[in-house]
Amino acid sequence: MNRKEIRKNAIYLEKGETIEINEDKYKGGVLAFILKENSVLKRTVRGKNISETVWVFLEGKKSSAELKSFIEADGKKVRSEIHVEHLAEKTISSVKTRAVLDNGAAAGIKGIISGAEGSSGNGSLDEKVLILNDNSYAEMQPELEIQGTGITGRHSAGIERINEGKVFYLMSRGMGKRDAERMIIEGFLV
Amino acid sequence: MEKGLSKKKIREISAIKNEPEWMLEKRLGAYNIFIGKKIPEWGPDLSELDFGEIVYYIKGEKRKATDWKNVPEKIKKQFEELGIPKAEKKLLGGSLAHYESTAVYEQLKKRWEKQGVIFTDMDSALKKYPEMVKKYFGKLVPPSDNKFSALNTAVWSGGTFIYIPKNTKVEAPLQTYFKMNTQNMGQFERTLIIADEGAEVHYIEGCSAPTYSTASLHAAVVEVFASKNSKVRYTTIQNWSTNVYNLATKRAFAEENAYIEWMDGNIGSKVNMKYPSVLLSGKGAKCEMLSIGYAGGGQIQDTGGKIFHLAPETHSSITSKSISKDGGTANYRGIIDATKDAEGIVSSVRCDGIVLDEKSHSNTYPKIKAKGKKASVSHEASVGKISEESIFYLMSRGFSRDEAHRMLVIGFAEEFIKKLPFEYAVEINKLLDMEVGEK
Repeated sequence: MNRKEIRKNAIYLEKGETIEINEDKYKGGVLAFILKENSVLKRTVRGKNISETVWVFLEGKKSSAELKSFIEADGKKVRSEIHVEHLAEKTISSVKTRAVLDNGAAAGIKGIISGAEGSSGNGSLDEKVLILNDNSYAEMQPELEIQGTGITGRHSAGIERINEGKVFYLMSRGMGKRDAERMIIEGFLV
Repeated sequence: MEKGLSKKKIREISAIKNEPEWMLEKRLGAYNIFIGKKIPEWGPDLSELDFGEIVYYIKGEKRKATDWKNVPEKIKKQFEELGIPKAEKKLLGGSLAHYESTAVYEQLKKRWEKQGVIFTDMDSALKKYPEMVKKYFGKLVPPSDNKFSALNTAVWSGGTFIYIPKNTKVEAPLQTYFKMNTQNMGQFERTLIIADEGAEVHYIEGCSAPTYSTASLHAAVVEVFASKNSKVRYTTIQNWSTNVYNLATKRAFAEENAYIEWMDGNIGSKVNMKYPSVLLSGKGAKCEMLSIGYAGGGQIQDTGGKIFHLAPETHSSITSKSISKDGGTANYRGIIDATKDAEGIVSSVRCDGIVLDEKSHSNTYPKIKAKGKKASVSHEASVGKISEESIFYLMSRGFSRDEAHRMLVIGFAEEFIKKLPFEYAVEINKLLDMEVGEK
């Protein structure tokens, strides 16, 4: 689906409007949001085996978006692709994606923050994947496209493993190994 | 001069050089591959490249030096400001065919010969050490790799051949600067660097001063083989005039415990596409890539690094800094790939870009791939203008806004500059200062 088609079906946030979305057991979908002046989008989704494509167009001055996706992938292919376009002044975005992969799951995580000429503000992208077994695989593409001096874009992406030291510490406090690992995973998905 | 490429032309080139049959066959095979491949479309626009309009080989004596009159004013001005000595100016301007070697170089040459170090141009190496060349040529960058490595394999001429024997440490950097002549500063240089077990060498090629080239396409191929426990530092700096498409393929292979340090400075060219890559194939192999790019008006610096972790306990680190100004575009394209066997690897990438005005662009397109529960990879990037706070701080200390700005840009590039030999560092500092200061 290209940019034009995506925009046709977008959800508009009118001037000053705030929308908060919280979904557990999220499965995925293709969504677009167009934000007008001073509007705020907060979206947090959690689920197993998600496949999502989300576009956010920050068209209005001082609009902002905070997006969080928490994925627990169990043996399946998961995908999260989030585009944020800064098209106006003083716009702020923050995208956070966390995925835990087990049982041969494969994840494709892509995040793009772009700043058009004339826009200003801050955009940040933070993607992390925790791989639990040897057959699982992750591919991450954190991208930045900035024109001009208005926007400062930052991103960080990482692939992590369970820290053995932390597991040992929890076990020395009486926890079983499974529970210790579970606790670390839950701490990761926050 | 004859433009365009054909099998007949390639046979001529090989015959003029008096090459062994196997090299001619490699060239012809590569030509077929070149014809069959498409121009890559995933990066900057290369549609203006007209392969029929290019002169692929100019025989030594026939190579006419450019008239000094024809060297662009901007470049002459930069030579002045950089304080480049007269003879060098002519060489860099293309109006001198051969740089007279100095006494220093002759001394160094004697020392290297005693150590068994081979440092010569590729054409001579093919004549003197054909078996060695045959063993390594094309093993890391085969013609099938991409259209431009195929082209290079078909028409290569000039370039450097280096062999460092076991456990030999070469202290002074090997610099092509000593041996520069227009023959070697070719469009299709082919370079092979072989460091035997335990060897150590630092090789520097290229020039930070502006280098005028009438050739519009440069496609070099560099292959570096770092054996067990060896250390290779490869520094390359290009400042080609802004009519040049510089599309190079550079790759290194690191065996057990080898250490490769790649320093890449990209200041010139109209379109520069270069993604040095390292295969960390032996346990404990490590590499560090440090690069700096400047994209001015009409320029696209499309660079990055590709690291493949193929063995456990390998480490990699990439630091890429870019500056865009006057509508220039700086792109970072990189891959960090770790296979399942890569246990306990550590990789970190930091790519930062400064954008100096409204018309300029800076983009980053990294890819991180990993499999299995033992990999650990991190990547960070930050793109934007120079921080107002930093400028304010310096202004509160008495510097003008302009001075503050220039200091911060040089500071941004410092990580790269401080690792260069003195004369290069001084030159790059001056260059950046000039480019950034220009209104």
